Amino acid sequence: MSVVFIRAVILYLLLIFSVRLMGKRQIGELQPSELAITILISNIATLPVEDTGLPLLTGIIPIITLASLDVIMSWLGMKSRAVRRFTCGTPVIIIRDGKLDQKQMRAIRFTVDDLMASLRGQGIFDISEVQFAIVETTGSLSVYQKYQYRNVTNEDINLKNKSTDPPEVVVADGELIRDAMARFRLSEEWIEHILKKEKTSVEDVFLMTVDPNRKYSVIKNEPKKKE
Amino acid sequence: MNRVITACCLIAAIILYSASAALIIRSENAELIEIIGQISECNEKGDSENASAAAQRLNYKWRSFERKMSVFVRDDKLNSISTSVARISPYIDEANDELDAELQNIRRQLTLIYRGELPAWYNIL
Repeated sequence: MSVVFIRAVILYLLLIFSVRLMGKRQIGELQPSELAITILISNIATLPVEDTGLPLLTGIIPIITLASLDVIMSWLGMKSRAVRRFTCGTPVIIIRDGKLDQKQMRAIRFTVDDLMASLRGQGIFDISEVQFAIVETTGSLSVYQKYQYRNVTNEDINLKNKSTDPPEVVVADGELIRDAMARFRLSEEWIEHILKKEKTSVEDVFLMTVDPNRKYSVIKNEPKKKE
Repeated sequence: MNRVITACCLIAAIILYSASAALIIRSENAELIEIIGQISECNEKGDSENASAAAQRLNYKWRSFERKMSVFVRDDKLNSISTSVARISPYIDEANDELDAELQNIRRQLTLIYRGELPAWYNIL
């Protein structure tokens, strides 16, 4: 049993390494090839744990190989459009000028039910509201609504303001987040000064955010209740 | 870019590892097959004393080889050879007719293990 345990620990660490090597992606954003590789890797990882007669390397080598090839193919995809088309495919337009392209839908085996479900997922219940829709290489549907159904933007109502970056967390759970501080050029002294004004200290802060205009918000730690 | 370099290094390390595994198996196999040849030769000459000594060497060599091999090869294949190696000494002592067959069996299985490490089309497909 200890062999299984140690193998499981090794494979756990290896899987974390492989996933980190492949990069950050949400499951829903994975390309079909990446999804297949992820499933394949998880399947391979189980083999040497289930069967202790198999050398551990028969699990480690294919996992590292697949993860490495995925990284190399992604890099080649960045360099070459042809590679990108080969590995990821191309997006397919299924609604153009408000008209459904049934031929393309048949070609990618995208049913009306799939289309309506994707539209409903985006809050569109009437297909006549759609000007343009495209099935992305990840299988998700991107929709561009007709002018009359689009949300009003600040520009439409002539609201002028400067775009700024959103606030960032600079203190979390009583710890300074130095990356965010560096991005906004905030010193530790400035944060301590602000917290002093708020009659608290870094250790007692649950969350503190600051925006580029140095507008801040502080949430203090709740006092622990006695049970 | 760091990821790509890491991935390329990992692939290179795997290729290097695979090649060195095949070379290690080949050199270890050669030693074992040589000892098997000596046992066979001594047995043909009726020199059971030298045959027994060679069988001891085979046993000893196989034990260290088996440990190394367990990194590359499935346990059941190694167990099968271990069983055959363990039979050699008693067969020599009993002057058993099956000694040659057993030696052939070990030789064949060692060759198959080596062949299994080669990136030949019959292994890949």
